[in-house]
Order: sequence, then C-alpha cells, then structure tokens
Amino acid sequence: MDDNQIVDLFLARDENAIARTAEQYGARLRGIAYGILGDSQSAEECENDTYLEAWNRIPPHEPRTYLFAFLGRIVRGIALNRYKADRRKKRWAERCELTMEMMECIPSKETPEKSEDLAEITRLMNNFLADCTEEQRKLFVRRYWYCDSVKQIGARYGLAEGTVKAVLFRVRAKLKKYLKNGGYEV
Amino acid sequence: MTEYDLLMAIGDIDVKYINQAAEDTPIDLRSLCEYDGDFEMPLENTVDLHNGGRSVRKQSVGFAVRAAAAAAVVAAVVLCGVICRRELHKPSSVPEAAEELVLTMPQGTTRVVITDKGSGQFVTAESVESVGETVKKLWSPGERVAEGGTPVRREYVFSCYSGEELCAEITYATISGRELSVVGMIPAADSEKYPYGEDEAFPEDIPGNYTVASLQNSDIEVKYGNYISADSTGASAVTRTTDRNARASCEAVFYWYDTETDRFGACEKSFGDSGSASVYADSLEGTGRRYYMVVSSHGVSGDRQECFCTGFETTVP
Repeated sequence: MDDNQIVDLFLARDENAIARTAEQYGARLRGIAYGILGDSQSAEECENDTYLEAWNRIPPHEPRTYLFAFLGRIVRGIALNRYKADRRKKRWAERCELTMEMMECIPSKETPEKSEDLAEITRLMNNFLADCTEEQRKLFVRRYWYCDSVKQIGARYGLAEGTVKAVLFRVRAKLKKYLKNGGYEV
Repeated sequence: MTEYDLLMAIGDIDVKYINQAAEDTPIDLRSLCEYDGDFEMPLENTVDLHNGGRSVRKQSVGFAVRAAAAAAVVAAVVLCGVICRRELHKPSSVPEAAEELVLTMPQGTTRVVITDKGSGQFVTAESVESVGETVKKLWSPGERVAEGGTPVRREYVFSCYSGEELCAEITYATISGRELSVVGMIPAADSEKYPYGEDEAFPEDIPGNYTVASLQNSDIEVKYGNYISADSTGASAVTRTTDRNARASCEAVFYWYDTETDRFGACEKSFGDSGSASVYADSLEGTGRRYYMVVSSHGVSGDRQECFCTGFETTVP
C-alpha cells in the first residue's frame, strides 16, 4: 500500500490506516525515537503516540507525498518532549549522546537556556544545509533527523565510523559558525 | 538556545533533505573531505589530500569494497526484516467469534458498564487496545461472568485523552446476534482535578494504602508510581508516573480485607504493554464473594505512563 492510499484511509477515518502505517513505517519511527531516548519501551510508546497524533492531524493535513517525513517529525517531537521532560525532572541519568553533540553547536555556553523561535532556527538550518555538500548533508540529516547512530551511518554508506565522526564534527563546527553569524550569541 | 531547540528545529527541515538522506546512493568520499581549514581536528581514517591523491584512490577502492559489503549486509538485513515482519504481523490470537465493540470516550478516565441485552448478562472483556482516538474492546462470547444467575455488574475503566472535551462516541456491537449496550458512563471525579498535561497535578511520592469504598474495609496499595486519586466511589485508583522506567510505572497491588469472612486477598498487576488491559480475579473460595480488579496500563504521550486500576466485587451464584 502506497502513501497515497494510507492517507486516504486516514481521511476516511478508517482505523486500518494505523495498521498500514505501522507495517510500512513502524520500525523506522521506532528507530528515530530510540535514537533520541535510547530505550526500546519508550521508543515503542512514542511510536504509538505518533499514530494517535497522525490520526488527529490527518485531516486537515494530507501528507500524500511526504508521509514518512510527516510521521518522522511527529515522532521526533514526541521523543524530544519526553527527553526534555525527563531531563527537567532529573530522572534522566545520562545525557543523550545526540544532544551532547548538539550542545557543541550552541555558539555561546553563556547563553541562557530559553526557548528560541524555532521557525527562525529552522530557517537558518535550511540555509545551512543548502550550503553543505550533498554528502555532508546526508550524514548530518541521517544523524540528527533520522537519529541514526554513527555505526549505522557508517554501515549505510560504507564509511568507517571514524570518518563519519570526523565529518559530523566538521559539519557541527560549521553549523556553530553559521548560527553565530545568524545572531545566536549573547 | 538549547540543544533541545536545535534538535527540534532540525525536525522541521525541508522535506527534500529528509528524502535525500533516505536514498541509498553511495557517498562521494572526496566530497566529505572538503576541509574548511578554520579549525583543527585530527582526521581518523580519512583521505590525506596532501599526498598527491594516491590515498584518495586507495581509499576509493576501499570504499567501493566496503560499499559492496555494506550493500550485501543491508540486503540481507532487509530480507530478514521482511521475513521477521511477516512473522510478527501474523494476526493475533483473537477468538474467531469475537465481536468488536468500539467505545469512544469522553475526556478523562471513565468507567463504563455494559450489558448484553439478550441475556441481561454482562460479559468479560477479552482485551482492550487503544487505537487512535478510540478505545477498542474485543469480546469473547464464550466467557460469561455468570451463567443463569443474577446479572453480574461489570465495570471497565478506560481513558481517552485527546485534548478535546469529547473524543469519541459510544457505538454498539453484537455478540452471537445479541445486542450489547452501554448502561452507563461514570466520569471519574478526579479526572478534572488532575487533568493530563499539567505537571503540577502530579504530587510527588504520596505513599500508598487507600480505602476502596466499593470494597468495604479494603485497601489499595500502589506499589510503584505515584498515587494520584481515587474516584468518587473510591473504587478506582489512578497512578501516574514520570519514571523513565515504564516497566516499574504500571505495577500495582490491590489488597483487601473482608471483615465478614476475615479473609485477605490481593491482586497484582505487573507490567503490561501500553494500551493493554487485563482482568484479574481472585476468588475467596467458600465465601460466595469474588473480587475483581481491572487494570489498564496506558502509555500516554510525553513522559508519562498511566495505570488505571479498578477493584470491585461480584457475587458468585
């Protein structure tokens, strides 16, 4: 069943939409959540919540040509919210590796932790990705959107883990500079 | 700005970049080795561009070999995944005669009483699963609580949180040609007091041991997680926890003590999958009284696990 048909099921309020979505994308959605939370059970819960959220959002949305990206955004949001809440309550014993890497990109360590305008950061991020080479972009997106591990990325593209780490390090440094130029510094 | 902001912002990047990264096209290694030169980083396993390009060729050969090997591994993994998926998605063991009753519930925890109009008897839930906005209940017609005796009152606890005042509607289904109807819906008194989504509604670590009004002289002990509330009848308890370890968050024990018979009983609910529910029964043999506990563990969005427990008693014919 293709994405178009799955979206049609959602629009028709047919609960088969959930099952078809799970068959098609369940493992990948779990993978994203697991990449953020590092816990299988939590990842599975995020996946289930994603289906509920998709059910609520379709309609009005009709992601016929970008269903996986649509679902991926939802599951990332849910997983990150969960991560954030756990961290706030200090119930998170260890920092997520992914977020540790992202901390490197923050231009100034003295910047107070406050929520920024996500739309503006996203705009900068899109510009930044446009400036990257296609290959750098792929690695960056695999790591920080799909939340793949370095090992997974290496296996996917036939690269040594060290190479992946080095490239990501460079891209993060580039992003930091980019954000700094975009005014994200105290 | 926080690392969280950055990761959230990355979530909304242009779809074309997301799709591009989903492609399995090989990476051009030379492109990866573009070096801005404005910071220093020891490059491990990367090409030495200052070596007349020889390393590039050697690395390219190595890359091709690794890419081929990786492609073979990926193909094998995909094949295994397809096989495993087929196995995992075999239809579950739902009884053939089972009928579905789709319940759509008002906001919050709700107890529902359902009767079989044909016989006046109430039936036992086989399983409950949450799908989308609705709570789907599967019934097994072979499992009657009481055959030929006084209709037995059954109550089920569901939750439905959609952020809307009403997230569904009640429909009916038939079992063996008989119509089922929902007798009543009883919103939990505390669902408004402790609305989902407000952190301050979660008292920290209030110790357990709570009286269940519908089971006289009975106690509820919430083994793990934070006790939140009992509803107006005291018959149900809701636990919520922000504990990262969801495995611990939905374990609860109900104890009761029957002063008439001087007997003690308990039901224990251990970890269950999100959205599932279980019916636990513990009979005090010879007393003519039977106690049940329904526990539905329900994974909710964000950081919480919720566990709804209802204890009630029936009379054994």
